[in-house]
Amino acid sequence: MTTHPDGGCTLSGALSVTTEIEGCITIIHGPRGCAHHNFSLFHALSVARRDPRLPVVVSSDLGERDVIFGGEEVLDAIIKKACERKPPLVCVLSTCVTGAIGDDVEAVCRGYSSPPVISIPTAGFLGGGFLDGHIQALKALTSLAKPAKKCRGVAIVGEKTLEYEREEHYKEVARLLSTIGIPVVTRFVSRSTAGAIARIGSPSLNILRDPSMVPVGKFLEKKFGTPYIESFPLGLGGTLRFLEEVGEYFSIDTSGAVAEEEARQKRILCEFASLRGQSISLRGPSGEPVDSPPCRDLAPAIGVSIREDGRPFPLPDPFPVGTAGVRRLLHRWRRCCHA
Amino acid sequence: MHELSAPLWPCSITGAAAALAPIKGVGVIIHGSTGCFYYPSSALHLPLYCSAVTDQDVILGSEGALARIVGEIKDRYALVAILCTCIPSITGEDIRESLTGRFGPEANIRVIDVPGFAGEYEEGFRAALRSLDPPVSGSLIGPTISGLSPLDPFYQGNIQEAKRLLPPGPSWSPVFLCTPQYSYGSPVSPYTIHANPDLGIDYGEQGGTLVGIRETRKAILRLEKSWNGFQDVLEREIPGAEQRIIAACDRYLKRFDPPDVALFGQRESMLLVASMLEEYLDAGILVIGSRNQARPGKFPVVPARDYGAVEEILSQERPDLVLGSSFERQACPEAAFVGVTPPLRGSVRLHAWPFVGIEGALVLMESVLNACMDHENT
Repeated sequence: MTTHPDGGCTLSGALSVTTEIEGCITIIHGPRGCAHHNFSLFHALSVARRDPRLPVVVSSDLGERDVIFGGEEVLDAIIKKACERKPPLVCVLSTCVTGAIGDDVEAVCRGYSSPPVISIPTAGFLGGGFLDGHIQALKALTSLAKPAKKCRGVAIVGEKTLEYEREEHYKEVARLLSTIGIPVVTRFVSRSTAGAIARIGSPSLNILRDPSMVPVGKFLEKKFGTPYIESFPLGLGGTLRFLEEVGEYFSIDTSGAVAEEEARQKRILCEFASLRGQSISLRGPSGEPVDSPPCRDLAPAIGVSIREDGRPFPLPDPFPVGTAGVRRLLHRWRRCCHA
Repeated sequence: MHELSAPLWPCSITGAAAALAPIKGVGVIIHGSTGCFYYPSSALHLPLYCSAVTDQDVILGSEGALARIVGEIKDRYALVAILCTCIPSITGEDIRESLTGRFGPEANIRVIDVPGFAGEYEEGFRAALRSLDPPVSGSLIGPTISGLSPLDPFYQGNIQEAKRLLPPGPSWSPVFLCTPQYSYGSPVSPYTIHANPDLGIDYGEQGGTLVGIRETRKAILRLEKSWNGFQDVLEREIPGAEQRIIAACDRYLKRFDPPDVALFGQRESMLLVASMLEEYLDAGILVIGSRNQARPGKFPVVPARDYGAVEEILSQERPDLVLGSSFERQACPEAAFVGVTPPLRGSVRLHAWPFVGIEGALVLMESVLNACMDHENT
C-alpha cells in the first residue's frame, strides 16, 4: 500500500482493545506523537458517544537521547509509577521506534507481577496493521485467564471497539440471544474488566464480531476448547439462521423464537411498503458498484430492485446487525429514495 | 517529561504536513509507517501520501518503497516534499542521494527530517517552511500572512477574514502562505504578519499579528504607513467593532460578575486572548495552560501538554470559564466553555468561523458572553 492507507497501525489496533478494560493503564513505549495520535482518536470517540470516561493512556515519551542510548530504563521507571497506582492491569505496547532501537520490552515487563503487566508487541509496521494489533492484543490478554468450568452462556469476541454504533450492534445480538434464553456472560473485551477476562475460558460458545476475528476464535478454541460462530448476524435470513445455529450449540429448540423473529421482520417490512418498485444501486466507499448478500436477500422482500442504474446508495460499513440493523438500513434506503 | 499521562499535542510530522500540504504544487509524502500517516491524514483532510514502510523495508532499506510513491506522484507536483518520520531518521538511510540517482537532479524532491521524537507540531511546521525556502521579493506590494494552518478549526474562517481585511487586487498582492492560494515557488513579501504568532516564520520585517482587536489595529496601522488604503478599517470598522464589544460586555457586567478564566492552547495566542478578556470583560485570568512553550508572560503560564496536567490545573483553579479544546471541555464539564484550540470534537461545525482579525475578535467575545450567560442561567 503506497497511497492513502486508510487505517491505523498495529498500535492503534491493540489500543482499541486495552483501552476497553476498566482501570487498565496502557503504556505506549515510544515518542509522544504515537500516544497523542491514538489518545486523540479515543477522545473523539468518547465525545461522540457522550461517554465521559477517557482511557488511561501513557507515553514513555522517548526523546533523542533515549533513541540513542535505549529506552528500557525509561520504560521500567514508568511501569513502576503505573503499578504504584494499583490498577487491575498494566499493558505495555511497543512502537516502531522501540522496535527499531531494539528495546526488550518483554523482559522489562517480566520484572512485574502485581498488578499483572502484559507486553503486547505492536511495533507499528514491524508488526502489521490495525487488525494484527487487535488480534495480537486479544491473544495476549488470554494470559490472564484461569482454568474455568464451562457455563451456559456466550462470549462476544472481537467487537470493533472503535465502531461508532458498537453498542447498538451489541444490544441487538444480546436481544436475539435473549429470545432463546442464552445470556452473554463476557464481552472480550468491550467495556470489560480484568476479572471478566480471567473467565474467558468459561463460556460454552464464542460469537465473533466478524470473520476477521477467526484467528482469535481458533486460538480460543485451541486454548479453552470453546467453539465459535464466526460473525454477528447480518440481514433477514442471516438473523434467523444465527438463532438456529446458536440453538444447535446449546441443544435447544429455537423454532418458536425464529417464528417470532420472522414475524417481527415482516412487520418492519410493512412499515417500508412505500419503497416497493424503487431501484437502488449499492456503492462502495469510492462510489464503485458493490455486491452485498444481505442486501440481495432483503431487496426482493421489500420489492426493491438492485440495478446499476438505480439510485446510488452507499453500502454501510460495517453492515448493520440483526433485525434492528435491517430497520436502520431501510430508513437510509428510504431517505436515499426521497433525495 | 516521562509523566503518567496522555499527550494532547501532535508531533512534528503533523506540523510539517499542515504547513506544506495546502500549498499548490506541493505533493507531500510521509515517509514512515501507516500509523504515522493516519493521524495527519484524518486531521488535516488534505491529500497526503505515504511510503508505508514495512519491517522488510527497515531491514533491506526503505528506498524502494519511497521511490515507488515518488515515481507515482512526481509528475503531478512542482515539488515533492518527503517528510521523514522517526524510523527513517533512526535507520539513517541516505535517501536524498539515492532519489537523486534514481530520478535525476531535475526532479524537484525535498527531504525534510521531522521525526516525532525530536520535536512537536510547531517545530515541524517551521522546519517545513524553512525547507520550502521561498524567494523573497521586495517588489511585492503587500504582506506575507504566515501561520495559517489546516489543523486549526478556524483555518477557513481565518483565510476568509485575512482576505477580507487585506483583499488582493491589481496593485496589492498579499501572500497567504500555507493556503491553496499560494503556489510553490511564488515569491513572498519581506513583510510578515502572523495569523498565528506561535507558528510564525518571518520573512523580512515583522508586521505583528491579527489575533485580537488591538493587535489587528496595530498591524493594520503599520500597513497603512507603508501602503495606504486602510482608513476605513482603522477609522470606522475597528472602532465600531470595539464599541459593540464594549457595549455587550457592559451589559453582561450589569447582571453578572466577570468570569475567572483558564485558557489552554498555544502560548502567544492565548496571552493575546487573555488580554482581550481582561480588557473588555475585566475577567480574572487564573492560568494559561500552554501546549507549546511555558515561559511566563503577562499572565501565569504553565505547561498543559498532557491530559493529567490539564485535569490537575482545572481541579486546582476551578475556573468559571474555560477556553481551550474539547479535551478541556471533557475534563471540566462544570465550567462554561469556548473552543479555541484543536481538537474541537463533539459539536457540528459547518460555518467557517474566524479566530483572527476583527470578525475573529467579535466571534470570540460573542462566544464568551453567550457561554457565560448560558452557564449563569443554568
